[in-house]
Formats: sequence, structure tokens, C-alpha cells
Amino acid sequence: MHPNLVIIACSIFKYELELLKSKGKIDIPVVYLNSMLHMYPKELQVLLDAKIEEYKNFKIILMFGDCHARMLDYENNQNIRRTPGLNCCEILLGNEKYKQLRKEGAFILLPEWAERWKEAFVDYMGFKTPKTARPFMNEMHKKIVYVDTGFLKQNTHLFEEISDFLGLPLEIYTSSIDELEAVLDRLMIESAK
Amino acid sequence: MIAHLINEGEKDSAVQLLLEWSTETSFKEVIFNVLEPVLTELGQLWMRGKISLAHGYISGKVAEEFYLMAARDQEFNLSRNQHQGTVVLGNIEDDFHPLGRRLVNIYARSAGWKIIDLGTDIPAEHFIEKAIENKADIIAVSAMMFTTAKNIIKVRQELDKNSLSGKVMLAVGGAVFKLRPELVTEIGGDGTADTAIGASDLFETLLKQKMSDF
Repeated sequence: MHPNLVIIACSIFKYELELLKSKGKIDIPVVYLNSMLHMYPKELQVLLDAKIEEYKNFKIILMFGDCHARMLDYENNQNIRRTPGLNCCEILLGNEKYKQLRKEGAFILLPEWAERWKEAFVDYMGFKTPKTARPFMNEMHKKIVYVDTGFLKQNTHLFEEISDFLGLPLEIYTSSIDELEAVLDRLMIESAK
Repeated sequence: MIAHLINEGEKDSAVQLLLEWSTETSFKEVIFNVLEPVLTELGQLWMRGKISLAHGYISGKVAEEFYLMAARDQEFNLSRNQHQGTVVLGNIEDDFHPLGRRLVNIYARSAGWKIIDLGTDIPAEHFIEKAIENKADIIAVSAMMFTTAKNIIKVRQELDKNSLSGKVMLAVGGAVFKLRPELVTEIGGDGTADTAIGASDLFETLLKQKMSDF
């Protein structure tokens, strides 16, 4: 147990972090902020600032991409370290795979968002019907790539529902979380110094 | 009424209604007195986070379709500025958020700018090559996040390297610049606009600035 060390994470990593905790790979507290805040960067900043203030006597590992305008400024605080990556997809997949998928026109879907896809697309992004969602997604992307990290059982019905609503084919990419674990190990060691 | 239809996701009905009004008056009347005020209001609401991504997208599509119809109308074409200048537009390297850029393309084209849209994930050197090839007045670069916005510095460096600073103006835009306005000068931008519909005014200002420097 590292004294006074905490992970403040986007809930998009909930499944992966909980698995690492259950395996004893992480033995520090993890605090989550709602991944739907991705659509509201100003609110994310306010809530994250408040959470960092709450843990001001802790060393902090932030598991967020560059999701609000001043995210990178936290790294100037010697008590804070952030997982490297532009966004959650790059944090989980690594730079090379992330860039490859983006260049292929993929909309990358992580398990937590797959489970909450209606909340994300309908409630938060405002695409109430497939009629509005499909042209938007087709203009921006060629396919959906679901990143299977082993937590959400491959649910054919769910994938078909997502694919149909968004009007794009869905592929599955199986990814280990070894890279994520290695990054967290490194950050925990650096924070303990 | 138009704003209501956009809010309800009724793109086709909104375009149809605009078209009906334009046959009673003119495309110019409808664009200046109805569509642009609505788009300006929606742009401001978007800036304050009061409308959803879907509303922003649908308003852009309504505008795009109606402007395309207007562009086929001879009377409208005679009434507007035909060629304000040439703009090379794109999302900077590593940036894959095209919505704002596409809206700038739609609105600026309708205002008479020639737009060379390069798409997403464009390296700095490519902006310069295309600006030289097309004798552009302005390079307009979009970035959504701080990490990608920092890549715009390379565009300024390439402009300097090619002795183009002051001859080709650098417009920057995207969500991060609204929340972090000091970034515009930090990364070497000549100016920014708060909304996509404001891009044409920004280009005009930059063009005047460019002319006055010579």
C-alpha cells in the first residue's frame, strides 16, 4: 500500500481498473468521475479541480486524456502525474494502434461507453433517432471498432443495436490491458519517490 | 420556427420551410434575415454549452443544403461577393474532429471565400504547400484539444521558414481557443473566431491586415 497515493480516473476505465484491483495489481484508492463529462469540458474541469483539491495532501495519478482545455497544466504540479495520451482510446491502446485505427476511420468504442451507448449518443450528444445519428457518424467515420478488454461479454444483440443506430459496421478488436498496467506501475513508482 | 425544427432534428422540414420563404421573398432575404440570425444564436448557445452536438450538426446541415440551393440561384449569385479571397482550411496533425471545420467551410464559402479543404490530420508542411500552390491569402487551422493545438506552432514555423508570415495569414479555431484564449498568440495565430459563422468576418479582418502590411 502506497501511503497518500490516489488514482483519479475517468469512469471509462472502470472495468479495467477494477480488474487490476481485484488481481492486487493496484492497492491504492481509485476515485471516478463520470465519463459522460467528456461532452462538457468546462464542467469536467470544475469537478476535477474540486477532486484534486479534495486530495491535495495526496500524490495523484490522473487517468484522463486531454479532455479539457487545461488538463495538461496539472502536470506542472509535482504531486500529479497523468497517463500519457490524447484521449482514453490512446491511453488504452497505445499511440501506434490508436493512430492506425483513426487513420482507418474508426470510431473507437470502449466497454464502458458500449454499455452506456444510448446515454452517450441520445441523452448527451442529442442524437434522438438513427435518422440524425447515421449521417453524422457516416460523415466522420467508416466503422466502429469495439475494444474488447474482456469485461463486457461479447453481446451480439448489443453490438447490432449500436451498429444499426449509428449506421456503421462494428468490428471487434481484442486488446490486453498489459500496457495500461505497465503505465500505472511506472506512475505509481514515480509517485512514491 | 427554424430553431424549433433544428432542435427536433427535422432537417428536411427546416430546409423546406426556408425554401418556401425564399420563393415568397428571395434567397438573400431568407439568408440574411432568417438563417444567419438563427445560426448566430445557435453558435452562441453552442459556445455556452447550451445545445447538443446533434443540434450543432443539424444546423450545419440545414445551412449547407440551403446555401447550395441558393448558389444555384442566379439572382442570389449576383447579389453576393463572388470572391473574397482564398483560404486553405484543415484540422492540424493528430486532430480528428471535423465538425467545426466543416461548418467554417459551409459558412465561409457561402460568404464568397474560395475554400481549399484539406480534411483532418494535416501536417504543417502540407498546409504550406497547398497555400503556395493556390496562392492563398489565409491558412485556417482547426484543433479541438490543447495537445493538438500545440502542433499549429509548426505551421507558424513553416510560414516563417518560407518567408510567408504577413503574406499568408494564420487563422486558428476550435473549442480549446474559446476556453484558453491566450493560446491564439502562444501558438503563433493571427486571430480566431468564437463561432464557425464568425469565420468569414475573421478572414476579412485578416485580409485587411495583410493588405495594410504591404
